[in-house]
Amino acid sequence: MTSMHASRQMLLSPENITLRASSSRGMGLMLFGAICIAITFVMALMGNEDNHMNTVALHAFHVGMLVTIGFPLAALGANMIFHQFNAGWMGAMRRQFENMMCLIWVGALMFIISLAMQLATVMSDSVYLFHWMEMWADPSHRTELYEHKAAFLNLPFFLIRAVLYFIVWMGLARLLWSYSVKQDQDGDRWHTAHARKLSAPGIVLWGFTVAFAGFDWLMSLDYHWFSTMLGVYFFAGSMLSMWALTAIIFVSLRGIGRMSGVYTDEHLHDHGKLLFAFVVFWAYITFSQYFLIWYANIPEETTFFILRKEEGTLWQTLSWIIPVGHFIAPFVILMARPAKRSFKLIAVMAGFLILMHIIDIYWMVRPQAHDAPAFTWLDVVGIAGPLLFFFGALLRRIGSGPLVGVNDPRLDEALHHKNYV
Amino acid sequence: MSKETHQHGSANWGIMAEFDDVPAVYHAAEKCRDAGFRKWDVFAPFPIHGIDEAMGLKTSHVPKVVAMMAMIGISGALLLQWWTIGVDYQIPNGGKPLFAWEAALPITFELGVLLSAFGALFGMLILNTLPMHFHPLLKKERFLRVSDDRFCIAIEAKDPKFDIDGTRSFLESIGGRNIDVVEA
Amino acid sequence: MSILEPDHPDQPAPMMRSDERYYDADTIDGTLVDDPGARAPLVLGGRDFHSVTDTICGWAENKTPKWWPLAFGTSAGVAGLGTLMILYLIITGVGVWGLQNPVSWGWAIVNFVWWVGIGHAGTLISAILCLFKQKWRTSINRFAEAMTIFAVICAGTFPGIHVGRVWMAWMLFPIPNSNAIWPNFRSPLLWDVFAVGTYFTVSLLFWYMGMIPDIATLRDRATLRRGEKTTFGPLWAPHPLPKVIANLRVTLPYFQIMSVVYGFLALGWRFSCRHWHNYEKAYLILAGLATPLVLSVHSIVSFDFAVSILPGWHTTIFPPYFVAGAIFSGFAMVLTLLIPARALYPGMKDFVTARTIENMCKIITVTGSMVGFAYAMEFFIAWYGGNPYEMDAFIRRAFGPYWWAYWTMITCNVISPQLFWFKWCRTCIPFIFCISIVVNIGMWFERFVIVSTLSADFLPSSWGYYSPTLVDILTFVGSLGIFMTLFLLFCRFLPMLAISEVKNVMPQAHAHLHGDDHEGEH
Repeated sequence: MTSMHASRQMLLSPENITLRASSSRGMGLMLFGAICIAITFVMALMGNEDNHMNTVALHAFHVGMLVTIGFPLAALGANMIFHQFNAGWMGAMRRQFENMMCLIWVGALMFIISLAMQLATVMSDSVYLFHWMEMWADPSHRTELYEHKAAFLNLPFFLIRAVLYFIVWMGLARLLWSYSVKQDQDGDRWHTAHARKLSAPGIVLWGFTVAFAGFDWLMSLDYHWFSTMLGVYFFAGSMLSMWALTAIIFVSLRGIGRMSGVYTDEHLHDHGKLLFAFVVFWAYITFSQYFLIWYANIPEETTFFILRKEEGTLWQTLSWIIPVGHFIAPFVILMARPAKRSFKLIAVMAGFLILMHIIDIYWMVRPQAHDAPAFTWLDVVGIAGPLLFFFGALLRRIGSGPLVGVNDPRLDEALHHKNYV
Repeated sequence: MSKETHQHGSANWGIMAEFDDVPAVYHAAEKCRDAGFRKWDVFAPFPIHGIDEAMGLKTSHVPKVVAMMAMIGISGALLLQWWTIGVDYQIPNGGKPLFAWEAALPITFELGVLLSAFGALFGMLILNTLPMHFHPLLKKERFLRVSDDRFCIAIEAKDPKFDIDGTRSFLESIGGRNIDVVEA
Repeated sequence: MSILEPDHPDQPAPMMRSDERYYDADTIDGTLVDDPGARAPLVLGGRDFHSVTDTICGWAENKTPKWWPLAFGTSAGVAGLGTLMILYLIITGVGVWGLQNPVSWGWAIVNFVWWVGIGHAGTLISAILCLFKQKWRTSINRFAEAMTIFAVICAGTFPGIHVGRVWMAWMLFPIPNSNAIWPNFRSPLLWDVFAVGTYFTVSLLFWYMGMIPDIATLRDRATLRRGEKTTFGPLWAPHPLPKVIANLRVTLPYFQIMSVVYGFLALGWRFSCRHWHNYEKAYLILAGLATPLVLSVHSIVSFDFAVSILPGWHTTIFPPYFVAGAIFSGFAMVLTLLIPARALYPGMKDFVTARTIENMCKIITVTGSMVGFAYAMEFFIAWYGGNPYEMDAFIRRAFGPYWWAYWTMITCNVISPQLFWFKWCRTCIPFIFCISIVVNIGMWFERFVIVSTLSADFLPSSWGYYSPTLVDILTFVGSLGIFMTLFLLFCRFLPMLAISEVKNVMPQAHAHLHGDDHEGEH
């Protein structure tokens, strides 16, 4: 109850809501990420038909890129949803989601690097990440099925779509951010209303682009396979990992003595509930997709799961680890109320869930590299590169301004947020 | 009048006092809690936010009941399906395994939820010792206004600290009005 | 706007901007605030707790409104017609319906899915919006939960009578029998039995549990008035009854009787905070259980179609798409019932504010767009998958013999809810009422479109065109009658709004009344 009565001025004092000296650490992480990316790139150039390191590099980097894009993408969606719901309890937390959503450019950068890497491997050893690109490049390899899909799966249209996605995402993020920053300066509460107006059509655009990004970057890795659910699947996994990352951010901020009384047990509790909800939602989507394909047992669809459930020890193992680690364990642990109100436990679970999300995407992407060895050191480096770079950029961004949108019209409501039951 | 003679000598159930609004009853509840009463209760037309804390109530046991029922539902559903179609009455059709967790999951989930829901409602009722269609308080016409817009605090005669005059003046001191003895 | 008190003394009072325009009397209640610094009040009319109790209980206690017997008579008549049709079906056989190979699933399954879907809004409003702490739901949740129960009853009727030999329906359940056979648990139709059965039971528990305190309120009020005698009659509505019956007046100790009836149902609830403590926890748990349940039920209903290998039915997005569609149609049905009720019951507009209606319109747009998204994905993947049968199924849907059903569906489900992007459309009550009906028609056609995919079998020689018979149509109309009959009974005798929950979101319900607390959300 003490925090309820603490004065607003005290809670919003600069010592409580600014973070200094995160810039150099952020730079360090970014540099470290850049080194990893460079190593991956070099390995992509150096790989050959014997060691398949170029294939590994392409796939590992693709995993890292998809996880990295997922964070800001989900943060953008979450932000628009907050605005649509007029969510009061988010008043003091929104800035961190905004910081994250503004980093879509990291995803775009990674996408460009990925394209460059693919160009390099194609030039040096004609190794492709997307098999359909090989068919597009060389008509003599084309199958009848590819001919059918060529109108969608061709490089120019693929690139046009990617550019379109990034324009939409970066544009929405930029506009939302500008409203938020202007509000910091002039304190006009109508900026929030403008953000809400923008969010409504924004969510529609966002929904379609996220789904098609999932189709483009995940589903078309195997151009034979298809599932209408895949866009939703990509959304569910990214959302979960984003909630986990924001939980880590807030717990860390509290750990170093920031945002006390601003991000309280009550906010943590609701944060935990959302983690729990998205664990369940992810499981629902994943199970539905798997179950419908399993039950109908149509060969053109089951290939995806047969490759992962019945071929290769690692994929088989992961096929068991993912349902347990991505759903059952967090479901059981996060169910209890005390668990959701424990800073330590939430931080551990959040880290674990991000790891599980990486494994999930890895399990989706990596088995497509049929010839390559199952797991190498390069997988770690390739995935770590984009992620570390992103974390570094995020750390710099968090430190660059106040941790809270100080003029948010719902700030008071957020500071008094409480779960009664 | 000593506590003992009161408890054995008369047929009083306890004392009730009325309060006008939420803040009044909330602060009175805090004082009752601090005075160390055990067998007492607040009555309000809706669950007042934070009254649990003001009354010093412990965490509800309903979740435990629900968790237990969920376990029974889930394991029962799995056993039922495994035994009936996997063992006792095998129908090989559609090239499907006789018993597979995938196909068993929908019913397992549903029965888990069904039994948990029973656990939640009936657990709540049992923990509250309901249904109890007769209660001394319900005979008081004044008390019936609680279901509309009044707030009450009642202290039972069974409480170790109960003493008819002392408790009456205590209720007065914490702002209670229309203080009334409730006959058993 | 005197009702809009500022939340914070240090903040300026919310003001109307010049571009705020209001269009009809229903919306001039001041709740359509766009100001991000303000929260719209949830209960209008400057009410205190007593007036809330009085108004809501009054609907159940006061003299029957004049329109009620007419509405009840009509719907009971229609329900009777439906019952006759069902009896005819049971006596004669399923052949009285238009079912023929290849369309072996006709209106029965369409009606089943449609009704189950409508039921979902009740759970959504009471459970999911409860978890999301959307306090505006308190004024509509009881209403929507009741609708859920009645919709699921109507839904359950159809597969029940579709089994053909109705007297063997008990074989759907795993009951040991003399033939020593068990039901096939791998069949999606059996999952339906468990899903719909669980859903009905849990919805009923949830509804009843929420009603216990309110029934106790009715009990206490009836007890306080138990001495009063009430005279019933004469009948008002035009009717074919003989004069003796029509002019009959009966005097009964009505409140004495109701005190016993409500008292029995209230289980002796006495508003103890120790009880509330367990009650709130149990309610939250039920909400938490009902949320995945509502997702699972319509997912399992969608499995009926999606686990098959039929083109047009086997699509992995079916589960969430069915759920979105269910919520979509359910909200539409809530609006269809709520808007007339709001106009007919005095004082209801103070609880069901223009903002509540507007929020519901927004949810309709969101879920309608999700459904549209799923239609688009289905079409895209049908093409992308490259399966010629799948592609053909979709082309036939849009341009085949059932093109009219497909385009009705698209118009009603995808296009019409987009009108709610305009503020005028979200605030004009008669317009909303029309759209809510259009959406319900559209959602019925969605299921019809899915089912009629059967008409083009793998063998062109078996292709057929499905047409319903009069019995099909009258059974469906009869189910509407059953639904309305039950609903009117609910309106007459039970608390239509969750009294204790409404009180709980009022400003007076807060223990800390020193100007820094917050009432109303969204």
